[in-house]
Amino acid sequence: MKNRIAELRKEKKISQTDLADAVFVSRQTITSIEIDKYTASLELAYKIAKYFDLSIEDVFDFSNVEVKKND
Amino acid sequence: MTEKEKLSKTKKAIKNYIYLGIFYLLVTLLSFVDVFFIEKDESASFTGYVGFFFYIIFSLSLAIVILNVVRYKSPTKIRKKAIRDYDERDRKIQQNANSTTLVSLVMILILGIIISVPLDSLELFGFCFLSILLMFIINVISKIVLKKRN
Repeated sequence: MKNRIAELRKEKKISQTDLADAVFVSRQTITSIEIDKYTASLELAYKIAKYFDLSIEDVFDFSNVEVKKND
Repeated sequence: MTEKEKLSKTKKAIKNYIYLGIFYLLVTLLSFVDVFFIEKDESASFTGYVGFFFYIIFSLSLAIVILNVVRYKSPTKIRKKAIRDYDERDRKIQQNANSTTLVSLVMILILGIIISVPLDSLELFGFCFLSILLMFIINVISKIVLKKRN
């Protein structure tokens, strides 16, 4: 899932290690999420969004996620 | 699991490592004392293969105790270990590795069953067949238990 973590980090001048430590994961996990190799769990996504004072949708791109509704 | 719970579980695990290290240290030390001071076995030697393993286990236990005592005293190191132990990506990788290992093991055992026919080995057939059967039973039981828990 595409996201703005790297961009937000650069804006706030935060290293991957700082972010990883704040959200209680390893630096490698943050790297994998940034390069779209790993999809964060809901809890981790929430923690990351909260760290940047944003909502999950502002950090992660859900445009590819489709929901079929029975209308 | 909250961060606090993860930290306290890691602290407990470190404590258990210390106790385990002390236990192995005591066992190796007691075996040393027993051979040389209680039984006074002059033919016993701690220089052969057994001696080598004795020193390896002794040094490893000592290293485990020292490393974990240092870890236990430092909140930063406990946090680092907790992050490493509970990292969600690492856990997912471990889970995938475990299932890959299991699938490979089953494949090897099936191959063992096939090979046992031309080799005419009932032992090999029995070992492979029972191992697969046991794995299947354990898998079904763990699925039932995990489904009830989650």
